[in-house]
Amino acid sequence: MSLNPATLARVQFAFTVSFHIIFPTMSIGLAMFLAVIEGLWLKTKDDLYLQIYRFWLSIFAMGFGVGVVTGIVLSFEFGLGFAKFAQLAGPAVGPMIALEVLTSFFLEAGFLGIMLFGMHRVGPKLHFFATCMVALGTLLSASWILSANSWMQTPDGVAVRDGRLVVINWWHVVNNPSWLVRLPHMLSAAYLTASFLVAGVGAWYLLQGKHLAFAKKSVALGTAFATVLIAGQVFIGDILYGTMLKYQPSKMQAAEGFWGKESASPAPYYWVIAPDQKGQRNRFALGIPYLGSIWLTHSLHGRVEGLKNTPRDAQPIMGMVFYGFRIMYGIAILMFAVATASLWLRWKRRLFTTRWFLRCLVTMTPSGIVATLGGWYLAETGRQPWVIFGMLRTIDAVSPVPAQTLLATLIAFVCIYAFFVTAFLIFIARIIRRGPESASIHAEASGSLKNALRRQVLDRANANAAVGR
Amino acid sequence: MLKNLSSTFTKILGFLVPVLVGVTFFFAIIGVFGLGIAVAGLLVAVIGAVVLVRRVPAEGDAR
Repeated sequence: MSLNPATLARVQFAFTVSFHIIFPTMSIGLAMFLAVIEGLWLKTKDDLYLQIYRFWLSIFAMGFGVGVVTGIVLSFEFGLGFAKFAQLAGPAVGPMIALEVLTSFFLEAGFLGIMLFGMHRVGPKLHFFATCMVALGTLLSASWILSANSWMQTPDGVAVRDGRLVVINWWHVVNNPSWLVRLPHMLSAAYLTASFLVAGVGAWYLLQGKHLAFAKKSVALGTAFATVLIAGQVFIGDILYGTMLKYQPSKMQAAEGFWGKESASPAPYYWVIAPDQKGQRNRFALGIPYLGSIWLTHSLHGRVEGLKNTPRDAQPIMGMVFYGFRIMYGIAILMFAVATASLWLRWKRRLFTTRWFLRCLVTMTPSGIVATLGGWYLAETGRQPWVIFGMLRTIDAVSPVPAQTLLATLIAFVCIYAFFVTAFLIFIARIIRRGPESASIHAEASGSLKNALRRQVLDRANANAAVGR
Repeated sequence: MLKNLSSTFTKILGFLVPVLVGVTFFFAIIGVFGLGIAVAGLLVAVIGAVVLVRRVPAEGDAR
């Protein structure tokens, strides 16, 4: 890989967007989880729900903050790193990003304060309303961003006149051919991410023998949500596969790892390949016989199209697309297996005592995040060499910025984001180590630094008095 | 001897049944048997899971 400006601009965007996507995925999922939990608390008045709410609220708040900060960088990168893209796509993508700000950011900004600090300042129903509005805000944000990104994947409703892009049908721009399939796929991914986070932390406490009531409820809730969601996700995933096969065949050809015009019959399903892009062949391939035909063509002897059906200069890099897809799909299969096992163990009344299953849940804690990253690599690398599929090539979209500038800012981003992720992980580890009981104290509404400090002083004084007694 | 055999059989069954049910549902939901069966499989899976989760309290849980 040579250090030319185009490569550096792409690496920089890939790095910053990969880092960013982790946090919205968590906050979209956790916001909805918090709304459900607070609703259950209002309905049942069971304080355990309130404890779960407060515990995850701290983690949500931190993830939300990092997500907002890292998201702002991306808007600037559109203009600074990919000026020609911003210039051409501005009339279509610009209003969608502006609408994200107007609808979701305003909603989140208005209600986040009440959600985080208003538990003792407003009534429980108003607080629940605030939580629902924040969850709705995250959902709207995902909708606009997915609409803009889906337009880049399957552009519609525009025409190029005198070298400029003109919107001729707004509804077709927003509701482009892939949006309504990609949106539920992304939302499900976010909700699954939250479900496995919650179940994983609960399982860890169960293995440690700590906070048992909280842990059992977390495992029960996390696995229940995951079970329902993963079935829907697999279904939507298959519909999305068909949509992308229709509109972006090159992406799906690369994702399956076949080169020839047609695969052998029956086609294997490859799990490991060593692709040779120059030679247009696989140096090595390992797969399960027949499974490719069964899964991809829904017949025992069906053939699968290979990447040679796409002209060389319009082919994505197979290795990146293939492994992005395999990571996402492999984790989805694992999630499905875990969900099935959870139902079976629930039926046998062994959900909280089967240690191998609890260890499995702990291992799967970050699985949603990894799968989402895999899915985004599939989506973005599979669209290459286009930045707007079929309209503008990535190489033509890059700004005339010197390589040194891009390299320097890339190094700066790596350093700053390393600090962010370290702080975030330390913060989360500390919350989990402290446990849910202390979360109840630390998530108390303060409203001001003075009040917060006064409360801490009072807590400490009470604790000292208790020790003295 | 018979008791050991029975216990091993139960363990194998306890592994095989969820695996077979899971694989069947997975294949159905991803459309291997057609879109109609995929939709039906999804509905059965989701409704079944919801009913099971609501009706069967997980052992010793806090509900």
